[in-house]
Amino acid sequence: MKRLLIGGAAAGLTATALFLGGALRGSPSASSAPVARPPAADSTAAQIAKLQAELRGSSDDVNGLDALGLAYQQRARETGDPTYYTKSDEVLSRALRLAPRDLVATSGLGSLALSRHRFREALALGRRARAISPTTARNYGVIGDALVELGRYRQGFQAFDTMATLRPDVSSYARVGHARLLLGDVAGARSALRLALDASLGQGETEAWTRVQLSKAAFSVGDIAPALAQARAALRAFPGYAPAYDALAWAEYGRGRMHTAIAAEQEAVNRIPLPQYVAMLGDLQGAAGRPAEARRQYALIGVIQRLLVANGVDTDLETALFDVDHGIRLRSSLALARRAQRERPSIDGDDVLAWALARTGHCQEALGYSKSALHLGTRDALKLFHRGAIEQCLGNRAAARGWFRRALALNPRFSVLWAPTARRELR
Amino acid sequence: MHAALPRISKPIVVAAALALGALALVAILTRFPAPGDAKASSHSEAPLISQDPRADNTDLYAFVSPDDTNTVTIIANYIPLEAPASGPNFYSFDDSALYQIGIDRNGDGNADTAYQFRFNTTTRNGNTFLYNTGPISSLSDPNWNRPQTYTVTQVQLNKNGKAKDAVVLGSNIPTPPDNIGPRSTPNYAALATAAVKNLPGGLKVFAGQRDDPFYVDLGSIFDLAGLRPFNPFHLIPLPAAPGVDGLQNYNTHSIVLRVPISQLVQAPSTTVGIYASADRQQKTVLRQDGTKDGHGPWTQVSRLGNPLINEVVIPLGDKDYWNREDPGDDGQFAHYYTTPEVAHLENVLYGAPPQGHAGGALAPIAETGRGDLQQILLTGVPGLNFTGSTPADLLRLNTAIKPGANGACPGGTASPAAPDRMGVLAADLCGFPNGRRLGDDVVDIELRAIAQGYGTFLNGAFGLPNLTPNNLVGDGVDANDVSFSGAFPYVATPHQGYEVP
Repeated sequence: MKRLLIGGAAAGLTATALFLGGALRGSPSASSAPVARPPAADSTAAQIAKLQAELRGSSDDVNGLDALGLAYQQRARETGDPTYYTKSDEVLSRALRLAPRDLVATSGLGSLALSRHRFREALALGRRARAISPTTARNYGVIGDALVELGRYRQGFQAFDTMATLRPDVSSYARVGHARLLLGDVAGARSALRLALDASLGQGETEAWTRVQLSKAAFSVGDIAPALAQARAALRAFPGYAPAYDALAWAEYGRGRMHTAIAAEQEAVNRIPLPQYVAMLGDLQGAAGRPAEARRQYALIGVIQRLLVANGVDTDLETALFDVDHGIRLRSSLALARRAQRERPSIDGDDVLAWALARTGHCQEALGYSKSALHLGTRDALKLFHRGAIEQCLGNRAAARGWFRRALALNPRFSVLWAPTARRELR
Repeated sequence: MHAALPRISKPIVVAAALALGALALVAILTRFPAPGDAKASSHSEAPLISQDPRADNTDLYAFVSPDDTNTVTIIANYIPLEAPASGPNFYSFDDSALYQIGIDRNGDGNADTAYQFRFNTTTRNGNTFLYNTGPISSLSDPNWNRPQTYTVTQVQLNKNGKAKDAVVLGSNIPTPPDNIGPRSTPNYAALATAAVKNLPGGLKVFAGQRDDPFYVDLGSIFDLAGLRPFNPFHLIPLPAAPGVDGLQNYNTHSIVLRVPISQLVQAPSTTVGIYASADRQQKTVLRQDGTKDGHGPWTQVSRLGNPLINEVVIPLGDKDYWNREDPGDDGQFAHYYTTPEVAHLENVLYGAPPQGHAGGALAPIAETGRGDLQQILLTGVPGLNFTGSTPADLLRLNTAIKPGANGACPGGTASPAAPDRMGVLAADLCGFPNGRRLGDDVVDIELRAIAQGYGTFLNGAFGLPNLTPNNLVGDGVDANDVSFSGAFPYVATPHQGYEVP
């Protein structure tokens, strides 16, 4: 049944737009329906149903299992429902038992391990996929993503360079962009992401994902107008896209529109209740003087995280950051942050551990991890702020003020919780 | 996979399914929206399995222009499966990609001259994201908010593929808008005609949206290589049925170029080798000069000479590599042609015993030593369109074979009344694999060639095998859903979003 899709994602479309631009086509589920899709592939759900039916005929069809395993991962991406990870794991593992050197199953399990934050496992799978096909670009994506999350940047960036040599496309451009962001080259990152955008135009979710990255890169340096424009364009490219609502919320917050930001983040949470969306929503509500609502959001996070863990996702780092940020179970969150950093010795792991240490009074030890978190030259205002707090804790007032100033100079609204603190400290 | 097949049926299904590798995954990975990777947290999960439709060269055609037989028309198509109603975004060529048509005149397998196309999209009104804000009545209509123009450059290439002596043949050439509907694009044919331009040297060019001229029963072929007319003989039999064109009502983007034959061939040869490609700029994490993103080297991400090579001949793990390589280096892939996966598949699914099954019908097909396929697809056929011993995936066109006004070859043994969709297999030497016309049924031609059912003409003329009933294999879709134009740019008007939602 075709119908007009008005409201929700299409809210930005005026009546005139509908009149002149043509009505949007949507499948019954507005949140997962890309426009501009051929009818045969309208929804991942339909694709999954078709593949499941075919596999009932021959359950040993490796290619069918491969396709279903990847479709489950796409469905997880669209719905945020981690039970699809478990399903994907089952069918891809079965494919691999039937055909131990199957390329798609091997790299598919690698990308699944990445999604579950099991980066060592992802690295091993990526290398196995590379052994099967050393010229397939995406194998280097799995390897590079894993290495970067494990803090092995030089090797990780080499893998990205190899990937972009084998096949320049949205996947490899996006990784080059991500690496440049880590290195503090925001202009270079945005230029790589613009190439990624050109290579993704018209591809619904992929285009929207790329626009969200452009939005975040702009926001990271306080460039609010393009952050806003890209988030909105992402919603036009893929109506209902939760990450785009999240990016929109950050951009709205960036220009001081708290209530619009809350509404946007609520849209994100309604579609995919990822812990970081729920936390952002609570933070925004708290900052807008609605502490009771904020507490309700925070209470949800534990439940969601348990669901993620039950489906094989390692959430230690995210949980530790949330707990430390919100002053919850500080002592146990330090232990969690230590464990998370061992599993994920990246600048993010180091930063969260540094922050947990600082908030529990271990400021000297925190300093070492903060230095490590900033060693790539990443222009991440939150990490700069954490460093300022650590210097302050160590009694280095001038140094602390310097870091706070740098964080705010990068983006005066880098964090709902901590930008006001940084400003206060500078008064 | 090529080992002797067990006799019990279930493992055979498995073997068949395994053999489907290229086909089924192409369906999943290239022809349809890509499953990506889940995004559960702050870890920045960039897509890993992405399609690249705007740099996906789907088909290449080349034929002596029936209405001007001193010229050849080359058509390179990009962007598969364009849904006509795709607003609010619509389709266009990629401003960041390099589109190219390569010409091999000397038979070394590599392009010695190439026509390069670079596109540029402008926004006429920054205050709206709409494609158009009213009816588009001309190519310069201010209501059209995102017009795209392009530059055509001819380059000479040295042995290493390095471009030199670039000559700009035309710049700021307009493309027509996409065919939206009776309100936005009321007189579409006129818009398309206005986008046909003459270039110096007797060239003519068009670039823009068109009906996808390719026709194939996608739905059945991707269901365990089903061919509906042959359904009763499949390993999993079904009642016979007519084929269904899976690309009916889909559009594509075409680059159409007419070039005088004198600029394409090098005497005494009358045969030209052609391929089309798309390149993207290579990028590295560390910027080369530290400050600016210069132009990274171009890297080929897709190429096409003969139809369906990437889909049917090249295995998944080699696709990225194959697409990067130049045709002149195709010798390294020759074994995929001489031991074709699809020959095995046809035996298993449709063959009579011992290769096939009790309900099968096809005579046993040789699965190895297929020099015939290597010749047709990599070197050309001696006496028809041979270009030398260097194996290269090029579309080879003997320009001395002239069509009549309707595109058919008047001098052959085939009926000159109309072009025969089976081309050379039906003695119509103006068709595939001597070049490729829009109407040529390359799916059936390749299926029969692989099945060694070459037909009586090629059996008599070149001694190629003509097994029966292998010479009847086909997907049952014998023509495009709309008819082609008799005049440049030949490809049919694209389907309108308003009519084909």
